[in-house]
Amino acid sequence: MINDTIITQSFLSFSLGGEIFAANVAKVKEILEVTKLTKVPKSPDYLKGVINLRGTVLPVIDTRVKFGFPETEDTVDTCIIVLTLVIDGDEVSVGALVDTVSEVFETNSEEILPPVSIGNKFRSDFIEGLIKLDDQFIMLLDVDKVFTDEELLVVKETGEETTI
Amino acid sequence: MQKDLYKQAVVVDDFDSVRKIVSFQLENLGCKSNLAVDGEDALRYFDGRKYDLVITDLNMPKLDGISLIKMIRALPSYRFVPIILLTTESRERIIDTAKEAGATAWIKKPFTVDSFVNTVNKLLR
Amino acid sequence: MDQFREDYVEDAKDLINSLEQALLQLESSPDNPELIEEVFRIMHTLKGTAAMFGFDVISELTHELETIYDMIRNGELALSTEIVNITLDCSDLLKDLLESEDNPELMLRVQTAHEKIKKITNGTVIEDNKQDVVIFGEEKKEGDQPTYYILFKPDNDIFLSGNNPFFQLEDLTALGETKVVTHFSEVPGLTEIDPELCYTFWEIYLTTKESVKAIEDVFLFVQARCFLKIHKLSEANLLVDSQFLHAVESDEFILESPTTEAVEAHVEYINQFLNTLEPSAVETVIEAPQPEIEITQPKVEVKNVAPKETTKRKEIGGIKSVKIATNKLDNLMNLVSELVITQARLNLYTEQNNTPELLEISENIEKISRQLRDSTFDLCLIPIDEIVVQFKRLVRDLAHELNKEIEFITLGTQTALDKTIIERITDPIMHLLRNSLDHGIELPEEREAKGKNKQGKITLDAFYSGTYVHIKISDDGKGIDKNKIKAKAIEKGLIPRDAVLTDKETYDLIFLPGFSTAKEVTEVSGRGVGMDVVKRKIAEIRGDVLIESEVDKGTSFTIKLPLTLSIIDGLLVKVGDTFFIIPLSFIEKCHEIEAKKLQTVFNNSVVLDGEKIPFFNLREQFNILDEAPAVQQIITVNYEGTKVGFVVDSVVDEYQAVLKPLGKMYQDLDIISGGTILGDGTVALVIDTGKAIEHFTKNLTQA
Repeated sequence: MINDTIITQSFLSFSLGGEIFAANVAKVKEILEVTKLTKVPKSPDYLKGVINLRGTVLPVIDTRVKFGFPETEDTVDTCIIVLTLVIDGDEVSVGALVDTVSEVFETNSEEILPPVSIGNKFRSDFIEGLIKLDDQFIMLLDVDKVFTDEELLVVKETGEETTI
Repeated sequence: MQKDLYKQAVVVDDFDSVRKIVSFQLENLGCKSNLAVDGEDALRYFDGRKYDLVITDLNMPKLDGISLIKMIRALPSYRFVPIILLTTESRERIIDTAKEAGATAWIKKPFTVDSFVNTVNKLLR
Repeated sequence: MDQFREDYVEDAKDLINSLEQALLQLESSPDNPELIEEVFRIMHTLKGTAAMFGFDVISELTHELETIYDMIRNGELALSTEIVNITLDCSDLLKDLLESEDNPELMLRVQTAHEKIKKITNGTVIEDNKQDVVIFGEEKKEGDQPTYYILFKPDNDIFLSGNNPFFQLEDLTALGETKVVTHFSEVPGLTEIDPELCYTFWEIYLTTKESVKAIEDVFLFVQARCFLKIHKLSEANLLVDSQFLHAVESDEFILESPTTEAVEAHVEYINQFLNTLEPSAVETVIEAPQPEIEITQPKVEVKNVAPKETTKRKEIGGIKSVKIATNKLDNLMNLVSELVITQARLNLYTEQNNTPELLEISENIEKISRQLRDSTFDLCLIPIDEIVVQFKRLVRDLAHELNKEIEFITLGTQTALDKTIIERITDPIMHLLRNSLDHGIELPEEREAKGKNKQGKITLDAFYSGTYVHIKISDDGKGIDKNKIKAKAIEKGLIPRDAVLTDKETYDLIFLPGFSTAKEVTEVSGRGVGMDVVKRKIAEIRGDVLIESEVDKGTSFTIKLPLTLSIIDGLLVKVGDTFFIIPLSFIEKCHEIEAKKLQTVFNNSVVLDGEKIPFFNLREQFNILDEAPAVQQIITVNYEGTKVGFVVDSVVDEYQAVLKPLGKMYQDLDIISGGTILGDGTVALVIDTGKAIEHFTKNLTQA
């Protein structure tokens, strides 16, 4: 949601299937290299599996699948962003597999544009807003929603209105 | 010796909270507490070690306060250690029984910090 | 103070639980004076302690209740059901008051309770002694008391025995008035001094009313380690005599040396001095049979007494318990889990680096950590007894409410379960009991008409079965009518009209969401949750519930629970690249089998050890598509009394798995009960064999 007062916020940007997304750094715990992953049978496709994060089991989301991009092979740049989500009031850590992590940048809340301008390629309720940075549009994700909702980021059928 | 740094007390009560509050008050008076949950448990402390004070509850699941006092008094090393009996019971017969058993003093629960501190100060030499 | 209050609330709750226990027992044996005494004692303790921690309302209420039980034990009042009811109501109230004392709704209940109690006691209240503190014997001893001369010379090595001669001096001081003369004459020069040795000795002039025996007793623990002489100088208190004091303080009395002869001469000299003072008051000999008490040699009888006492203390010392805050226990549990994981890493490292010494150390540590794990588990186990009181209370109250007569029997209440399981199983058991009372047990008339005992019976039986605990709740009520259930399920559209169901499947329909066999939802069973929630809650702690029933004979619900949630012994197996753990408690046997044999079998079953066993190939089930090795393993597991095979690529080893939850993302996946971290850091998945078989079977029937 967009705030009226001007607040400087930090975001971590990453690329996925050619698009650039960003997550609020407050939600980001750490960034990991891809390690040996255990695939869990009988689980949804977007759940890539689990890894060992210093003694705890961390579920890893295949963000490409979740966002509706075609699956690709991992590269040296592929990494896992560990995010802290709030699910049903509990804090839960999950890993999100992304193509490349770009940078951490700061922005004022007034520079954040409403997501309406993205058109309806992505579900607007998953996007907090849009930032124009160096001629590129970066989509600010509402990570709590996008990673906990069963739905995919990509709108499957048209007709869903983007409203704010 | 460590023992000389602090006074040592044995605090016996089946209530965790009472043990804590009593030992907290004793700590303020420079007295370390050795805690026991009932009379039986307390006996392990009386192996010749020196104590400056014993504070015990009356009603406890295993070995009540009166019997504990009698047993402590029967041990030669502890004939003279001051023993305070803590109890809600305040009828004369209990006071008499306590006195006979060898209690040095008797404090009624609930007690105020002042009356507790005063009594303990009188008995800690 | 707040911290103390919190602690107190815990203590008080325990006490209120024992109060309820006593009250319920009292109901069946109202004449038991011990129980009356117990209730009185609890009220009494609550009264006193509550006030100490600022719970004034509780203190006042318990004071009034105490009065009732005081009157009962004094025969002024007879125990009635009404009294027990009021007390039970009050114990509920007390629990609520512990949470908050200034809630207006509670104050109203307190007011009502006050009035009810007043009616019973007619306003009688126990008068307490107003005095708060009494120090006995503060009034000083008067009259004459004898004076003694004591020479106390500890052996050089007294400190090494853990004794401190100052204690003896202090104890002597406690006996009466003393005058102590310290001798440093034997202290060597600074260069020769050994700080661990005692070179000092003392002369003590003591005046006391205590006997010689009391003085001897002061030295009981050091008698074998000192040179000790005790002489009575006078029947009078010499320490009030200024001339005598002056003689002591000046060098008038000089002890030549700490020897028997010197002491005798010394005492003789003092006596002569005393003669010059006041001849009549002087006694040269002490009152004991021997003129002199020589305690340098330990007496035989003393020697015998001492060890006896120590053994006794040891016995007593063995029975003690400590209360530990649950968060500390959780912390310990976590550390132990970490240790077990690290142990696995060490094992792996040891295998890779063939060093015999390391192997030995590693094996040793493994043994210790296993023991540590087991003891820690043990700490976390709580007997079911702890929650049974609530059940008794529920059954009692409900029986009253429903006008049913119930005998509630509890068996095996010492059976212990992990505390987290205990916490989470209470509600489901409560619900099953409610269900038995409400739907199972018939009204007394109905039971008589059926030729049954008027009084219905509900039994709660807990027992171990392998690494599982079973809690069986059975009643002798009307039982479950399978046809009715089926009809109802069909009516609700839960199963197709032509469904063919086994008995188990039929009973399990009860656990489907929204299913209720009662014609109307009564207040009792309607309260709270449905049976589907019971099933889910039990499943959440890796448990299961089974129903057995016979019409007009009764119904039983058996809850099957794992002993602990966090560590399991399992078999580490591999399928494709993925490691799985199968809990050892379910495993019957492992067999080698050729992969191609499995492809040609009929009806998914193989013959092993002459027995036809259905099997599931985990590769197929889990969609692991790379090529299977030529030789595979088939692991037979026990599934509700029958054997089922799981085909895996290979068996790696036995493995102690520290179960880690897969987390919310995987909460719908019940065939995997969690993950565990292997020595090399990879995650292995723990299979819930029961759930997996159910799942696979469903797929099979759907296919």
